[in-house]
Amino acid sequence: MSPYLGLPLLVFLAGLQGWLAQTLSPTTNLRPELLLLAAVACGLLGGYRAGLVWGALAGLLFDLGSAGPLGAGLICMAAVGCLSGLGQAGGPRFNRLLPLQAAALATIVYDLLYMLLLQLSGWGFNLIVAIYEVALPSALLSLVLMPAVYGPVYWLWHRARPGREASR
Amino acid sequence: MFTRTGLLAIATAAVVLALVFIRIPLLGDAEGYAAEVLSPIEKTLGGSFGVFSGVATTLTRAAELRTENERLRAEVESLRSASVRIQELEHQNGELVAELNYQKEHPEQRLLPANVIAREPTDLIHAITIDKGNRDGVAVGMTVVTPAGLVGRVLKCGPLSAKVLLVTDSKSSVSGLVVIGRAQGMIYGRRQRQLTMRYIDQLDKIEVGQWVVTSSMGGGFPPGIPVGKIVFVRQRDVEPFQEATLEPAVDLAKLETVQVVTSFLPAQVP
Repeated sequence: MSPYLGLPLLVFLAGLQGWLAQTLSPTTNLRPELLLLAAVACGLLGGYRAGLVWGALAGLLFDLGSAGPLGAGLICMAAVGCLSGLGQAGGPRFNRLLPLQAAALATIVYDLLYMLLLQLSGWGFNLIVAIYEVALPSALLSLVLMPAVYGPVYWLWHRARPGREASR
Repeated sequence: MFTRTGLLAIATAAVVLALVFIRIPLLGDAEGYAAEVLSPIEKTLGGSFGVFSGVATTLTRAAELRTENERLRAEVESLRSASVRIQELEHQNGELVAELNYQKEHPEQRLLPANVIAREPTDLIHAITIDKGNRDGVAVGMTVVTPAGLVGRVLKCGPLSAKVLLVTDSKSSVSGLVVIGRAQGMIYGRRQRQLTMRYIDQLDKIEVGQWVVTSSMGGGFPPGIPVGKIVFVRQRDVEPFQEATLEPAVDLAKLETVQVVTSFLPAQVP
């Protein structure tokens, strides 16, 4: 995906994620992980390298808006984006449900990794409670939101891939 | 002189005139019956004529009414907007009055008002971002309050904004004091926007409904700021300490404005 399109999309998703966090705060603890979903979508569409790069960028944007340790989001999203790239191995036999499954699974893995890094930085969690109260509801929310993120990323990916014009 | 037809016409006219002017009683009754029969018809016809007349008037005034309707609609919209503005101003006024009262009650504290501009994008951390930073005199470790009580402390600080770790975050710890009984303990953040006060001596008597404020122990926060109210007490003889669950004094989910205590810096920033 062209960085000229991908970066604005990530910045937009970061802003939207922050706005949703602000808006949802009085009613629920749930937070949509839009940047993570974008990283997963990039991994699924472009392979593990694309997942790694776009995941790192998404993580960096997340860290800039978070009170957590700088770099924790970057590491976790890069790792999850990279792992999502393994889903591309399906190639032509791409399953339409794969993005949804990947979104749910990636959210759980991401939350566990992020909790681990927060623990190392002085935050304290009851892991079982955090999985039950944060990771699983977030995974369900990601499952619902994935089509809304995957659609635009898919469109941008096929609309303006680097080298597309050169190959013509 | 008169033809037969002429005489008949004159006679008929005379009889009619006589009936009208002389008013034979029998005829009076007939008139009454006729009125009974005719009045509903007259009323209906009169009503119909009234409706037709109204429709005609309306049609002629349609343009005028349309203009008036539009003007009234605009007026209603304007009044509705003004009403919302007034409600918002009342809310802001209430907040400012509360802040002013808090400042009067705590003249020893220098307070810097700030707006909440963002919230943490993940639920694993409870934090907010405020629109005041280094340039305004905010520093890491400073206490953040509202007139209702303790909000948290500044965790990160940039030139134009700062991140405040809320008292409900799992990394937050505050030295607390129960107002009645003076029982001391450490207050930790926990999930579900509640607090846990630990290490309360078994001999101290604490009850549900009592208020807990910040203590000067540890020097992390100015003393006397309300932290929360006890909603549950866990006391077991086999355990060395009591534990209490607190409901935060401040509704942290709906924060809009806060105040940074710039006159107090913690002894040690953890």
